[in-house]
This record gives sequence, C-alpha cells and structure tokens, in this order.
Amino acid sequence: MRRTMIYNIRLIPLLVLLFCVVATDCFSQDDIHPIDLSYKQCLEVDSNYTMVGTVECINRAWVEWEIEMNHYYTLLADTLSTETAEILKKSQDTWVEHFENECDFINVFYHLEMNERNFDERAEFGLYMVRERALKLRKQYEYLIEY
Amino acid sequence: MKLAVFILFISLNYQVADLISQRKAQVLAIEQSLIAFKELEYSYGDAEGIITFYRDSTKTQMRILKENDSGSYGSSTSDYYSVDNKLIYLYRFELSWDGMAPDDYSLTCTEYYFSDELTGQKTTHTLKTTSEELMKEDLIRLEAVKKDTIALSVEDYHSLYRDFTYLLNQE
Repeated sequence: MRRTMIYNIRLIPLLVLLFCVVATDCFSQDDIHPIDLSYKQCLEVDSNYTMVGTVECINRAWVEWEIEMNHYYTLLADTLSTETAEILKKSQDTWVEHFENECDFINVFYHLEMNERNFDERAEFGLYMVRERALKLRKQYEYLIEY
Repeated sequence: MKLAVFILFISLNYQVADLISQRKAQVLAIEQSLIAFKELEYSYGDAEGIITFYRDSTKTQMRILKENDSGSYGSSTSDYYSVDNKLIYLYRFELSWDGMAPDDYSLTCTEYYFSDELTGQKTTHTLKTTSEELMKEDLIRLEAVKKDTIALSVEDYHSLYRDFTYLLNQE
C-alpha cells in the first residue's frame, strides 16, 4: 500500500506536467487568431511543402495582417479625439517608414551578408512585423472601447 | 494466397488508373464549356501573379487558375477544377528554390485526382535544376522522370479544398 502511494506521489509531477502540456495546447488552440490558424493550415497543405509554396502562404498571411492592421488603425483613429488621432497618424507613418527600412536592411542582409542562406527567414520577417503592429493597434482599440 | 494478393494488387491498380483516366476525360470535357469571367492581378510581399476564374453557364463547374511568381523563391501554377462545389482535379506545377545553396532549384509537377468519396490519388515527379528561370530543356527532362502515384486521404482533400475556397473568396 505504502509502495503504491509512493509511486502515485511520484506520478503527480508527471501528471501535472502532462495536464499543463494538454491544457496549454487546448488554450492555445482556442486563442489562436484566425489569420494564424489560416497560415498554419496553409503551410500544412500538401502542395505548399516547397519553398515557393511556403512563400505563397507567408504572403497570403502578410496581406491578411495588413488588412487587419489597417482595419484597427481606422477604427482607432475614428474613435480617438482629433489631437490624439493626429499623433496616431504620425506614429503610423513613422512605423511604415521604419518597416520599409527594416525590410530593406533584411533584404540586403540575407542577400549579401548571409550569401542567401536562410533566405526563407527573410520572407517571414515582414509578416511578423505587420502582425505585431496589427495586434498592438487592436489591443489599444479594445482598451479604448472598454474604458 | 499469393493469387489473392495479386488479384487485389491488380484490382487496386485498376481503380487508380480508372479514377485518373476518368478525371482526365472529365477535365477535358469541362474545359470546353468554361468561360473566363474574371481576372485578378495581385502583387504583395514577394509575390505577384494573376488569378483567372472560369465557370460554365450553369455555374456548377468551375476552374481557378493561379499563376504566381515569387522572384528568386520560384514560381508556381495551380489549376483547380470543381464540379458542384467539389474539387475533382488540381494541377500544380512549381519551380521552387530548395532553400540551401543559391542555385538549388527543383521543378515539380503534381496532379491531384479526387474521387466522389473525397479521397483520391496524386501523381508527382520532380527534377533538380540550377536556374530560377524555367528552361525548355528542363521541362523535357522532367517529362522523362518517372511519376510516383500516392494515395490521398479525406484530410488531404479538405486542406486542398480550403486553399481552393480561399481563392474562390477572392472572386
């Protein structure tokens, strides 16, 4: 009996770990953004296993995040006071300029400095920058609405 | 026992050939009745291309042709055919960079044939090349490469159908 209990106690951390893994997985499935899900599904399509297929998926998700970013930018700008909206516009213009400079740098970095190695990472770079900006604008808009 | 396995093997091969030839004939017939009704040009990120939408007069048969150019990543052509909102055939031709050395490219031609039960077969063949340009001699060499035939599951159908609906929604 004691022996069994010891075994059971020993099993607890393992079970907790297992639960955490399963729970995290479940929660992440629920919380996943539709664009991320669509991107993941696109990458899983049999015909997209190649580099050109992967890049098509990246570009598709990139466009969707750009639409999302513009959507929340407009919503936010329309909800803010005129003065704050003006500052948001400046901030967005600066972000666009920064984004373009970063893309230029990344292009040259992978093309010349890395001799085109890991060139696929370059394609994902723009996608994640736009995604981050879109989520930030959405969060600010949701804060504003809640407030 | 050996005879039974042999008969089963022959019968399966016959079914595969039957589906492929049936779909090939169907696609040829459908092609005659389709009219291009919309052409959509796109350009974003590292890709640009044209999506052409076709359908017949009854709107039950559709074709979506996507010609994509991703610069040094490569290029691809996807040609989808559907009947009554069911995908029956997909032709996918790619010239894709392999992702390692700058001149490592491969040409792949894959044809997907779906049955009414949403399973099916794909035939595929690949050729290694060294150019991001599509060369006529590489196309001839690719034709000589033996095609592999692989079974497709319902999951394969659904993931490809999702891609097809994504394009359909662009219409």
